[in-house]
Amino acid sequence: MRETPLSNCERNFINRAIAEDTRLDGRQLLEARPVEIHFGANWGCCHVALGETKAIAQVSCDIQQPKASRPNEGMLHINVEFNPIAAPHFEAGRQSELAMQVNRQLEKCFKDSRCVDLESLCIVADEKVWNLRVDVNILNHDGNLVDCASIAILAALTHFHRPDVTTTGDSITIHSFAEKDPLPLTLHHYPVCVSFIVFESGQIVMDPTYMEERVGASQLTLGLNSYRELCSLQLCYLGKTSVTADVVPSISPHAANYANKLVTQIRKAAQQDVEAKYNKEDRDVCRLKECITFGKLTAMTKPKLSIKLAHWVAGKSSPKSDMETSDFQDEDDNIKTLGHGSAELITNMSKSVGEGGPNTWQASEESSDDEIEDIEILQETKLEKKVLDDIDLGGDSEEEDTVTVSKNDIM
Amino acid sequence: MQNQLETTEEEECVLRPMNCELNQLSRPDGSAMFMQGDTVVVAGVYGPIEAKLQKMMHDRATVETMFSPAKGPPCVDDRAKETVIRETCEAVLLTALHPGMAISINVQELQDSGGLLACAINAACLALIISSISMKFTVAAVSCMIDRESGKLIVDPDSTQIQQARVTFTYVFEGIKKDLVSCHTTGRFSENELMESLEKCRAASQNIFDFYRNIVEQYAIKL
Amino acid sequence: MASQYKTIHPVKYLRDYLAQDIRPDGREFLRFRSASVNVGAISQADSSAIFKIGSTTVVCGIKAELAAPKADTPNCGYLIPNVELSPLCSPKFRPGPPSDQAQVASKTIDDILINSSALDLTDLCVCIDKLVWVLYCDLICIDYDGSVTDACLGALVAALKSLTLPEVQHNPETGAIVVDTSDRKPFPLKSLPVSTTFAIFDEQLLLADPTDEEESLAKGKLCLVIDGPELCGLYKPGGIPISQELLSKSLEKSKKRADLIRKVIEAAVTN
Repeated sequence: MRETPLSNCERNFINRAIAEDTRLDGRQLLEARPVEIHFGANWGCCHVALGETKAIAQVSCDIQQPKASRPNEGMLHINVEFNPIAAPHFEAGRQSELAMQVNRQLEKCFKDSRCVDLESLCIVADEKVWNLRVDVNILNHDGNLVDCASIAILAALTHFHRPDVTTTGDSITIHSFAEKDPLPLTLHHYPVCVSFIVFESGQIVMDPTYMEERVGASQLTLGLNSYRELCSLQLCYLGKTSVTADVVPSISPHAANYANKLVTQIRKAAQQDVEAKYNKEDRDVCRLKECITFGKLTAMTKPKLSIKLAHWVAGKSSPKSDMETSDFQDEDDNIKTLGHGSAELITNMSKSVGEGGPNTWQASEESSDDEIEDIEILQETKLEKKVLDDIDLGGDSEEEDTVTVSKNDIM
Repeated sequence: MQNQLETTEEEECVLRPMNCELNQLSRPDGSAMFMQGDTVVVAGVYGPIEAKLQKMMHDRATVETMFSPAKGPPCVDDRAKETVIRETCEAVLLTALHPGMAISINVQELQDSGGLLACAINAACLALIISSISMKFTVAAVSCMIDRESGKLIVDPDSTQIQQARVTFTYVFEGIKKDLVSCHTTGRFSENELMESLEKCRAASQNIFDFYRNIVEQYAIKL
Repeated sequence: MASQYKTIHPVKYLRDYLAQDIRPDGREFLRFRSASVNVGAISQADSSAIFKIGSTTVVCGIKAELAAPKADTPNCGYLIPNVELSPLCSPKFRPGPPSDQAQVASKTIDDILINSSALDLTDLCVCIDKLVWVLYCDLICIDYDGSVTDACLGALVAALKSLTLPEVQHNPETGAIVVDTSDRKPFPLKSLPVSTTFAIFDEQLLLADPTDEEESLAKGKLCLVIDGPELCGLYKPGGIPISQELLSKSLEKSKKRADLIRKVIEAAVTN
């Protein structure tokens, strides 16, 4: 489905409202939506809600051969999927321009800023390194996908633990979580993305919604870490605009403060869950289950359910099936071996009507002979019991007949 | 067989806790987050929407499904799941009511801890219910397995139990006569094992239908 | 006249036949089509088979190659089935990358083989952690006329049944590999799974071994895989719900059919 076009009414309304410092959801211009982070039962599984924008990130790892250019470093792959669940105009299995742009921005923010210590992921230099893969799936698109995805990635990376490995000479052993405690990743710094939209009126809005993104004139995304360092910067013009004012200096202090606060929140949440997992507490703090707002009209929960199932008794339905079989006993299928390495199963009906083969309806001794004329049979194969009275393809014999004729003029 | 007939006792089975929130996502016309134990799935339904030209059908709506895994790129395994979900939903929906349109059903895995396919189908069914697209019947999926050592049948197993499975079954039943809509199996099993698991899952499916009914009742009364 | 009727009202055309308790090709509802199998027709492949059900034809060629095993399963070889549904077999299919249907068919065949434990992947191991056999099983559909899974599985099983692997000498120290092609040993296949497809129409009408035309108009499809006394797969991807009686009926029929197909394959291989 194509994206629904934005009407002039909506466009003008939002522009006018922004000019009056008002946003549709009642936020201040430089106010972000609340962030909620929930972790799954597995390591590196994280669900993030930035207002209505929702994403799920999952980190996975496997062992691969490193790149020739960096033989002693692990690898990190970031992949953001825009599935049609997030918005109907996203197409499955095709990288749209938006997806590519978001992917690139996140790569810049996480990979190029070298926040993950990749050298610690090396097992055997030049041979075996850990390959980390972060998959982000957008669940609901309400603007500012980059920020939401970046929070999910950072939280998932902070939360992720990889299995321990021991190397003995040539071979390596990967220990399961039961054998040895898993190890967390080392992160040098914690970057997140903070996005702004500049409107034609020159107003700057933080954490834009889907509607604001569509109306805005230019978009600015800063990748910042908690040390107020800039990791990536992206400024793109969404439409014809003359806004070239110094946007970056005007908002960067605010963005840095916000990023600092956000990173603290992410780290705290991740730490809490990791500790709970270490202590094997089954405390439901920010687990996936908590995504559900209990007590809501559309939410429902049912505890573990013990049910009683009647003991199943074999043969309850057997009399029925016996009856069925008796109805369809009248098959007379023939298996024929035709020359070397071939065999054929001939069912009665299909030979007589379907394929225009020789008519076996008025079956007689000759008719079956006719048919065998052009097939070569090399050896006698007794497949089933005895041959009933005569060679009869279309007859009513109950058993499988074996037709055997020896011919010398073969091949 | 005679002595078996006499011992018609009841067996205890445990279904994992079920949690659900409907319309948690703002964009889809109907969505459901459904959890069975630690298996968590989100389903979102759009429809009826404009169909793509090459997929448009003049006499009924096209059903598009998308199943995306939590990790890794989609593989052949996910295509197979997608096919089961699509064909099940096609059986459920009254597609003839929306000719030339499309109904898009998207399922996202959040966490797999056994019975993922069953959970995905249940979530899709809940999302279809809340999206108020006309349906012929509701469906409920139940998974079960047979333990490798004890040969015991376990309904709705979790990930630790499933590692010990010799056979796993996933059944989908419709809500009216509890007839079988879809079925997927792994492993070797005898006819009796098939019939036994089918009967037990059929009985267990009632609990899922009850869950559907309760959740709809809860919001329908207030509206 | 009939052909025009069929083109204009394909559904009604079929329904009229079914109302008369007969199918368009003259079969009764639960009658299967003839099946034939031929093994070893392709001399270039390590083993091959052609399987026909009615006019549905599938050719299977198996190529065995040597490769290093995966690190987590050092003593297992691989079997890679690949179903090809090219435009040759039916105008339904377009050239290009494998369609969803072909992918699902490959997956189903793979699943069935794993589930039936018909082959032990450790039999494909030459030297633990160093060298294993990889069996590339290409299944090419030549004529698509329904029940393709059955034909694919039949062809694959017949080809596997007649597969012989050459003796390999592997020296772990030097890594030298000597393949003795004159000394070929038959590959042990533990069992013979046979699949049977049924189409389901309104009011619980069951058609065995449907043709393409019946399959595309059917309300549901059911695929049973039988292996000896046991089942190793029951696949019903959605469609119209079926009752318990219908399931037992199809099970009964498919068991008989499986016996016959098994005999045909054995007859062809031993011949």
